[in-house]
Amino acid sequence: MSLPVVPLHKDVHGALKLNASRNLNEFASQHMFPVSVHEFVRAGAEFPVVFVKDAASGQFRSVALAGLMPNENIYAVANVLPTYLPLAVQNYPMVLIAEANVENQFAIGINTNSPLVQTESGEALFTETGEETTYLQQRKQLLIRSYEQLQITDAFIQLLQQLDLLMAQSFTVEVNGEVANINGIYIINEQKLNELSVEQFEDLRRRGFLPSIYSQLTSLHQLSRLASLKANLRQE
Amino acid sequence: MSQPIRNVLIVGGGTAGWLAACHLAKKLSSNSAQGIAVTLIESPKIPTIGVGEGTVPAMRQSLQYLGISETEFVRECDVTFKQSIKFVDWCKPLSANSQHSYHHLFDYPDLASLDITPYWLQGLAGDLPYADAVSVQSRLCDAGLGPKNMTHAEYAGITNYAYHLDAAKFALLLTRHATTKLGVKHIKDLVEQVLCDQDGNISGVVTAENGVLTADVYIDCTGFRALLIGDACQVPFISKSDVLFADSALAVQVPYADVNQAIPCFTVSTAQEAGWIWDIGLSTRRGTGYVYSSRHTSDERAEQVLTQYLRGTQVTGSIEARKIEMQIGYREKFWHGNCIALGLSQGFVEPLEATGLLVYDATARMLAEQFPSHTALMPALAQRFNQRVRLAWDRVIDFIKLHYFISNRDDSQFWLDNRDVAGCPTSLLDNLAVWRQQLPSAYDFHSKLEIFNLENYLYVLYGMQFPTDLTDQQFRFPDSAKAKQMLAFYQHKAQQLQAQLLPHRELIARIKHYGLSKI
Ligand SMILES: Cc1cc2nc3c(=O)[nH]c(=O)nc-3n(C[C@H](O)[C@H](O)[C@H](O)COP(=O)(O)OP(=O)(O)OC[C@H]3O[C@@H](n4cnc5c(N)ncnc54)[C@H](O)[C@@H]3O)c2cc1C
Repeated sequence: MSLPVVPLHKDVHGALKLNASRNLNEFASQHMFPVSVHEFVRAGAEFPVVFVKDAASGQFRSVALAGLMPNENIYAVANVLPTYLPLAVQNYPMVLIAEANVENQFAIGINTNSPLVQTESGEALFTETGEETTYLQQRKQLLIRSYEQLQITDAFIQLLQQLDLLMAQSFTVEVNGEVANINGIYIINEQKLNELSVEQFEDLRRRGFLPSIYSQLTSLHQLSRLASLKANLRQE
Repeated sequence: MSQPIRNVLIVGGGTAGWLAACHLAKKLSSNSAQGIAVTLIESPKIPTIGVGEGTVPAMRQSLQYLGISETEFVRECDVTFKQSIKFVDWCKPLSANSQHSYHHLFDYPDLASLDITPYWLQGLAGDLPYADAVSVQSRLCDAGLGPKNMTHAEYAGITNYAYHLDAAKFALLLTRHATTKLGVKHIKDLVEQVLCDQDGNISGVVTAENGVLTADVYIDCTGFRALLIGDACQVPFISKSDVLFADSALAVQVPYADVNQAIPCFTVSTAQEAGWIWDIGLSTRRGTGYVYSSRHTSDERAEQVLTQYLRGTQVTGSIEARKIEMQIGYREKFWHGNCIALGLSQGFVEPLEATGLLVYDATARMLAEQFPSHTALMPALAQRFNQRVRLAWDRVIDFIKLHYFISNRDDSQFWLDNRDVAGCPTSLLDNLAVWRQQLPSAYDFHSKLEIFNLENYLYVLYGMQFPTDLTDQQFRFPDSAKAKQMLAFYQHKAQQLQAQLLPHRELIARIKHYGLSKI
């Protein structure tokens, strides 16, 4: 998400107040948002949840789509309130910053350019004596939970790849008679899923991945919802 | 009486032996109980040739077909990508203080849309090099970029590519794949003697520690030794050293000057007074060597030439090159009775276009595809095999000779002799006579196992300024407007791609770190 992010420090940021994100309006040019496997069910009820490859590493990531093409965020432009906000957005403008050279050591970072960061309204981060407020502690908990969920998501994606359960899928969506192709998207291969051995399937069930898998598949219907949101937008 | 064929014994475990083992085992289901048993015996005492680091794109298809992971291959064999061979100094410089060079690219020109060649010949593209006129790839090569992005799946890319690889590590990877995945049985032992019956068929091989091994079919992959096809079966060797003069090589592996030195995404082949030097950048080191004609220079002088080249390319330490003698030519037959030769034992020409592995891989694949089910089928299949492989070698020889024959270099006896009509195959002479006044056409290349096609010839002919004269033929080429569009398109597209692609060394580092996905 948009930088610059600086490490949070009581001496610098003692007076700041934070407001919760409620919509995607701040991300008008971002068409996808990372979601963890734990979020598939809730995110999939609102957004198409799919897999894409990270450009720099080629690694798969799971994302919720808020637009049909790069730089397009239909929710932001239409000012639509989604029924679910991805954790990454809920956390915003706070992020974890990995410490250089130390594994699993993080600092809390904040993007102070965000309109969510205020001095008047909102929840204080530090008390007058410079202690962390309960609010800040809650926000930190959420960041850490989100990080842990992304670790599990990586393992989930690894497992999908080992089981050969991902496949490339291009979509064609029509918006007011204009046909657009969406490429670079990967989804779970339903046929391969059905062909898994009893042991493999049981393993997925035991690990609690089945609801997420089915949510990913059903979430694809949200593509047409996105397309009609976009169509309405054009007509206004 | 005709017998079903149940097993194969491959003698020799160089790259050729293991490629053959993989192809046969894959096609003949050697990892199932009903499949044909494939055994490979190699002697730890007899080293492999240890060179052979450049490939062509067919290798990519083969590795994918054999089920090898490209990520593992890149990680384990010090692999880099190869998009071209850049030929340097194969002609006189076009102007003072410059060096002649051209790319033989792996991306074929888009002849289906329009063959730009005649328009280029008529000067439509000014002095733009031929490769730049017909493709984006030469620009990407010169910019030091790789052929793909991290988001590309294994074996997929933006441009067509092959690999540079470490030959010894590649043989190890193939060994593991053949034995653990494809069901090939591996014996490490020396073959001391080859037994033949009165019909000239091989009846067994005597080993040092495993007694006599027998099989229905024997594959000779013993390298230049040609233990089975030559020593035992007495199939004569047909020398082609009157056509291709280079018969010796000095090979040396050298380190990079520093760990961040850019790695060219192409092989560099620099012509010298009596041959040429290959320069291949692997991920961890360079592999180089001088291929030369012992009739035109001495080993001492060759060493000087190689040293001088290396000093000019940032090599500082000591240079201890290994001398390799090469037999140039091929066997009169490649399949004799129940013995089939694959690899250096089959034939070899100097490695100018990395044809070694290419031909061995192609013939191994052909053999696997046409593998006889019964002994009675062998003579007919052998006859076809011999015909096709012979033709393939003859075509390869034509193509290699082309590089020398149309050169305008006259600075040494080596180059002068190479331009002598006496050493040029008539098939090549005939083609060139036509191409002096007419464009090369796909109809000039018609065999099924054609190793080099029209497109390869176009790159070499026009990279070397071959003078096809079309002056009175302009009416045949009315599409200048479209040709101009295509020229502009390649230029624009190359710029676009340059912004997307990673420097070659960085791409390799990321693949080693993250791996490529299968999809
Ligand atoms: C200078 C040079 C440069 C080259 N460059 C290229 C290139 O860039 N690209 C390319 O594609 N090709 C190149 N080649 C060709 C390439 O090296 C060969 O195609 C490849 O290495 C295959 O060799 P091979 O397996 O046939 O023989 P070898 O590597 O010689 O292997 C012979 C095998 O036979 C075994 N053997 C021999 N005798 C016995 C016995 N009595 N008992 C048991 N085992 C035995 C040995 O142990 C060994 O395993 C080059 C060749 C040369 C000479």
